[in-house]
Amino acid sequence: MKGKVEFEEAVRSAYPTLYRAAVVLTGNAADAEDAVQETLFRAFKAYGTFRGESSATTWMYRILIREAGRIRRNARPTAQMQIEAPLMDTRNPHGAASQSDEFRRALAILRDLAERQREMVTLFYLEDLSYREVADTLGVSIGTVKSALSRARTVLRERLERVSPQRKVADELPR
Amino acid sequence: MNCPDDELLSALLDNELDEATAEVDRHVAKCASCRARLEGLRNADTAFRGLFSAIEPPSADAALWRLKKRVVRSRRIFALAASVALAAAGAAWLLLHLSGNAEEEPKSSAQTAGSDETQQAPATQQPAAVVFAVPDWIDAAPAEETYEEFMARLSAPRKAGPTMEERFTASEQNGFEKLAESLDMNGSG
Repeated sequence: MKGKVEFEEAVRSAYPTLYRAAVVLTGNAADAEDAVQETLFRAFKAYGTFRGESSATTWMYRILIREAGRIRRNARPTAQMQIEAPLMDTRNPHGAASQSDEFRRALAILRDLAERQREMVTLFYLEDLSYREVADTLGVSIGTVKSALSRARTVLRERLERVSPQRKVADELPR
Repeated sequence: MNCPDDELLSALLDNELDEATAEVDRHVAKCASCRARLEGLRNADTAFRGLFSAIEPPSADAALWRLKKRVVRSRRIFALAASVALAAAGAAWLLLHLSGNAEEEPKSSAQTAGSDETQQAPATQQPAAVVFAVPDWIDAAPAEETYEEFMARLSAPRKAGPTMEERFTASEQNGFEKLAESLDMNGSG
């Protein structure tokens, strides 16, 4: 039933996902914090209309997409997608120095995607949703989600193979 | 079957192929180049997952504190605006009442329209339903509370409060001020 979920608990649960998504969607920590803060304020005001049909995190993600898009449109082009090193957690096994270049390449791929595709890929990875759930959340078809994920992975695969040719098992691959 | 395209291989990676899964699986098992492409997609998938998990979010506490400050500030602004509107409505009513007594003539169309709007305004602002109770950590928030005080209050044991239905009923009974707060909390953002 509406309103029964404590808003504070919903925020605490959603915050890591919202922040990570905001970093990817806006490209820097300052804009990410602004986007999340605006999202929380709007979510707070509209929490009474949340019907629990999706998770509170997914519901807030939809709000975040609008806020991040607004911030990106207002930002100077040079300020886009420059993730500062301190954002990367070096205590995390994924954050080891040897992998930081790989992360930056992954981020560059996300930057090059169309805005809508970036939103789909981000939601898929952060919330671990099915294609159907991503499609329903963002109001697109399953085929569009499938295509966005495939495109992101294909481009990243090619860039990783370019910098580490040993990753490429076969040189002439049928496409 | 012919070699599947990257979209099919990517979906295979996510277990999102239904009837085609077995066929694609069989093909990949005997096709080295498709296995290599699939492995490349898997590496890309791992890199994306690594990217997202490597972004370390700050604590939610500071975000909650900033949210509280903003909500308190917006409620003050709303209360001020509501007070001004109420005072203006009272002045307009007084003016119309006095002029009506003095002249005993039909009101002009402009005055009538203005009067109607003033009287109807509260009705049009009625929410369809007020369902969200203001959390304790905002409801009881002094505006000048420091971050440390805020965190101490958040971590203190909470006493059981009224249900949201009881709070709305109370807000109906307690008059304009509570209703105004409820309206504020249900703004369409």
